[in-house]
Amino acid sequence: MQSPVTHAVEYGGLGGVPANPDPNNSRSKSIFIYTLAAGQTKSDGVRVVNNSNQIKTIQLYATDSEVASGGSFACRQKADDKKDVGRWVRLDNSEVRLDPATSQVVPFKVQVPSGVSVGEHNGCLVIQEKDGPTEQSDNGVQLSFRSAIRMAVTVPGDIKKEVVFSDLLVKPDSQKYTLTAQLQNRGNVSLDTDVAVVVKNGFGRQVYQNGGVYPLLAQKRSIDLNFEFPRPFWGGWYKITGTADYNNEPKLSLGDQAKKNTRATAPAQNIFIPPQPVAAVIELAVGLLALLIGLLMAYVLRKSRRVSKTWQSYTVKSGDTLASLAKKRGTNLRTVARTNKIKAPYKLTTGQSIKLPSKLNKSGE
Amino acid sequence: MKFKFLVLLIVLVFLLFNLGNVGQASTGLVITNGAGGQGANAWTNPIQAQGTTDDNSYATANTPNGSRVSGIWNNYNFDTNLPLNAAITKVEIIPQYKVNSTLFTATLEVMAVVGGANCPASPLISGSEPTVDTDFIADVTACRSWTRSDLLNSSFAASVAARCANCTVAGVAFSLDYVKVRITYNTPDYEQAAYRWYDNTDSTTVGAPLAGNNSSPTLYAPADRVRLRVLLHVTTTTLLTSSQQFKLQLAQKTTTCAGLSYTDVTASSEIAYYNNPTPASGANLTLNAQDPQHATDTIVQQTYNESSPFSTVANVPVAQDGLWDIALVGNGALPNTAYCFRMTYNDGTPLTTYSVFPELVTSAAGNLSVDIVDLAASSVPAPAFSFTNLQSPINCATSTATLGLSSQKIRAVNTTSSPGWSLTIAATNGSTALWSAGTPKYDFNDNAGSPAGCAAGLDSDTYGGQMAINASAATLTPRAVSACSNSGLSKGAAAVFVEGTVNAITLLSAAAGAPTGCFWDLTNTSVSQNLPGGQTPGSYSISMTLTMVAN
Repeated sequence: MQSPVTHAVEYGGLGGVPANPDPNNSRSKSIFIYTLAAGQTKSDGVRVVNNSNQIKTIQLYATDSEVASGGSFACRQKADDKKDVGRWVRLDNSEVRLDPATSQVVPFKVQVPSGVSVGEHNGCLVIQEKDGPTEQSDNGVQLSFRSAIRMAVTVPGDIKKEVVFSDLLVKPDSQKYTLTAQLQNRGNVSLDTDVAVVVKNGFGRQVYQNGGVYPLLAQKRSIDLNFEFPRPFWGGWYKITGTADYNNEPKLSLGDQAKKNTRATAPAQNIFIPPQPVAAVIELAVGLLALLIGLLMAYVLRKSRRVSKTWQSYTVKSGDTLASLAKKRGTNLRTVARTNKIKAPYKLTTGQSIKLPSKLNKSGE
Repeated sequence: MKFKFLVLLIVLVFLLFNLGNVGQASTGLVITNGAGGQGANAWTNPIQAQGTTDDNSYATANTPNGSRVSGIWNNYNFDTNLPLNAAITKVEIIPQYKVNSTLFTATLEVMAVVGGANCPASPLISGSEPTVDTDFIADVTACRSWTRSDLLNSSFAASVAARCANCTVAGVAFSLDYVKVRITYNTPDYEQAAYRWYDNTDSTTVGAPLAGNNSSPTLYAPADRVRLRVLLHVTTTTLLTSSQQFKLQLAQKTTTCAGLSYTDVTASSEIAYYNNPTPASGANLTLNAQDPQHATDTIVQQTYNESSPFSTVANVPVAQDGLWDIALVGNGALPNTAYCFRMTYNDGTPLTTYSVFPELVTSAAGNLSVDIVDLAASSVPAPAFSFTNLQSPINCATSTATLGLSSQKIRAVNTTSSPGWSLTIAATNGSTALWSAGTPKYDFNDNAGSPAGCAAGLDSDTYGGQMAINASAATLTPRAVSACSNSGLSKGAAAVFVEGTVNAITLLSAAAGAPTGCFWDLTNTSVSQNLPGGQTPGSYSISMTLTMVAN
């Protein structure tokens, strides 16, 4: 008999997706993308989804957008004045009631007023539970939630596309390095930009890569993208580079694929990263060992040079033995044998050339 | 006396009848076909040995001086009348022949030829010299594990040679009436007996079960990847290695899964085969402690599959169960819909018995959402977080808080197929919002003073104070399935609210390449609030909104 297995049911929340995405533009599955001249109107719909396990009354409203810290896309609050796209949207219903795990399409119109500037204007279509979380009267921060869909409306005209990779900052921490890619979109439309930050070690081998495709909004200030590079074990010199690829074809809109992207690069950074403590101990031990070996080799080399400088060639005569020759020259058998690489039983042949110290022994032999 | 004899007769007839049935059941079904053609053949008039008729029209051969005359007969047409699911139990080649003399050792040498290979390697040899038409039954069953495909016209032939080892000049004349082939087989009886659903993994083993044995789970996201393991119970005859291939079919459930119009699961069906990067389709599966169970039957592991057909790689004896593993992914299936699945033979013929049908309920339509949930993943009715109390500070002071305790986790959900989104926090009443304790107030986004927030004056109100939020050291935990990870997600860096400049602070953002069909729980985000000295004591509060936006 098998024991029963219990499984937690994972419910989702409230949200929405574009009801009529363009099959040729995958980006339009998640955000609204329109190219509308001043005065033009576009009809569309939003599919409002209740993935919770309860009946929900959901409010819908449009807002302008803003740029959050770090350059992320954000939606203004319902309480904020609407001056841009948030003001252009007219929803057929501002409220829907949905059973659990159901969805409903709510139609809306976007009307671009006359006199708006050329370029991309952004706003949000927000989906929020009408009777959201209960607010406490306690001290502190009461939280509520909402989900939203970006609405990007491009007013055609002199479209400019330019991304600058301003800087690549490296900030050390105890166990990681924060690599901050600073980019700036100097154009008048947002650009889906493929950002890559690459770290190579002193041997040119890539040890880290991070990045992704980020929607860089048209704005004056820099956008900061932070990536965590784990502190390498061995340390050493590392080269950090950054690239940002984007489509600069003015006729292509958000989500369209360009045949060839334009690349912006960051000034490369060369940094020395100290090894981690264990690595430092290992490196020190290896260094000392190498030093010891070096000293030993130097000693042997020096000795060898001394032999080559002070010892002379001698042609073996009949009756010579290695022991007698060593004794005559004031040294011992082993030294002469090792220098001449003669092994036991130390046999010599007449006419053989060997090296011997020039110095005679005390008896003058 | 007559009555006793009659009873005895009835009993005898009954026994004979039943013994006959028993015999038939033990030997299985039989098909006997004659040749429809011949290959290389040294017999005279070999066409006369085609077919199965005892018509006294013969292929002939003479064997002077110990010679040997051989011939190949083929095109037995089992393609048309041997069932696709036939499990072969016996193969016999039956030449009918006679010779004109018994003075010499005249024999027939018979063997099968399968795909060009002799079976057996040495022929079976007749043992007498019949002078009237006689069947020589050459049983070639033992020379290989026979499958239906071995017997098709493209593969099978019968080789029959006439030989007289000790013949004189005159030799012996052989007359061959036919070369029949008799196949004994069983129609196998398989039962779809048990199943279980699991999380997908990039390997031949499976992840955590999504439901109990023979129970249907509900998918979390439209494009969830799952694994299905199915047990086929073998009833009548051993399912032999390589003898059968199977596939998977699906149908939308109505009231039951029986009697529906099933279609093949393919790489593009609404629930499709999924191609995991590492394991190869058809690899041996890895057994799991939580595999489906069918009573106490022994399980014989078969293959992991990313496409059909599913092969049989190990014999499954009668009363045991073969286990197959199938990787699947939601591929545009209707939301919130129950689907039924069944395994069939590879030609689409249903199995004999379906005692269970694997079922799967798809998720609701994908969306982005954010919530605050407790340890049991239930929405917290009144989510909030509090700051440390300050005792009537004379000078500028800092109070701290944690956004996203384990009992109030921020849960960001993306069940769409698009990875790009951001999660931000901002004051619900916009950039001019204030902390309020009734009449006393202070600000959350004034950059004035040193440290910033310790004075008033750089924005539209007359209150000082500034809130900082730092998600960079927060804990981000993805949904515990193999497809979900923190890849492509980045936590927001430390930032302060500045009226008109930074009205929203990023907590999380997901770039292209981030997984979908996932949720992420964000906990332990640091929050601090600087407020000027001399602030009126009181319990202050402010409302803030978390927004998850597709971008």
